[in-house]
Amino acid sequence: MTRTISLGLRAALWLVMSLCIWGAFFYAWSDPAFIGQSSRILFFHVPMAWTSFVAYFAAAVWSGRYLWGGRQPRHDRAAAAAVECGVLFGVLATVTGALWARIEWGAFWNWDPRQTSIVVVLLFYGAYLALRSAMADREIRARISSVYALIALVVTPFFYFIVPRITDSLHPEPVINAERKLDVDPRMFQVLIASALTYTILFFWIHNLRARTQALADAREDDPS
Amino acid sequence: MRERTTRRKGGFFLRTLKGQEGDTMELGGLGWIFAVNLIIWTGLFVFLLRIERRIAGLEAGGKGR
Repeated sequence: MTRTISLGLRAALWLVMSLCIWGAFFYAWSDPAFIGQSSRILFFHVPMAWTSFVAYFAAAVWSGRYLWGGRQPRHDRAAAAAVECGVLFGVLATVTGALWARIEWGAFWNWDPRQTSIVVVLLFYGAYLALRSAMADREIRARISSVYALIALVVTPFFYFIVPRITDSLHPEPVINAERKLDVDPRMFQVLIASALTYTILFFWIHNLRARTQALADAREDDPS
Repeated sequence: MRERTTRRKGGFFLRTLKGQEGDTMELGGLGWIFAVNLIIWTGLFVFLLRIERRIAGLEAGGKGR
């Protein structure tokens, strides 16, 4: 019974994501302010960037749970898995952004504040992963990584939401602009929201698989037989 | 006089692929990009399902499939 529900939920995820892809190309309008159909990358690029932020936020929550919730290794594994997923989605957002920039601005990389800020965050979490891999003792690694992920939560929103708004940028206005008004066509907004939600669910699925894989690896390390 | 209407050829799927601009089944058109996206997403989905089944097998003490 549980297996049937689980498969049904996954099938629903496949269907909703497929509908989002369909909506991105055939339901939402192409914004005439952009070259050709390039505005449609919005429905993939923005949810990827959003999901990377959700992942970093989730990593901080699990790190907090590790530090103040009984120092359970599963919380540390969950935090590390969230950072890995966040980096993955962050890289995808950077790549899709660069592809769009090539069409719209004529170059893949322009040192635009938004491009630069997401790369700074990627480097910040790359350092988290490097830090983890440099420590053999699991308890020390978990403790230091958790503190790092919590500090990162102070830095990340600044680079994601504040830096691009206080500097001059070529990047299109955010969906909710500086005047806090929704500045997007309703059809585009519907597909964007659906896509962002679906990517978030996809993140939690991939995260679950990664954390479980790490739990198996740890168990094997503890008992090689 | 009743105006003659043009109907798009093909079934629902092809009509959908043709979408709002009607030029989409050319290589590089929206229909193609949609199809490639759908194939990539379905491939990723099946891959994740297979990994999940394998992890469940290992957690249950078996070797997984």
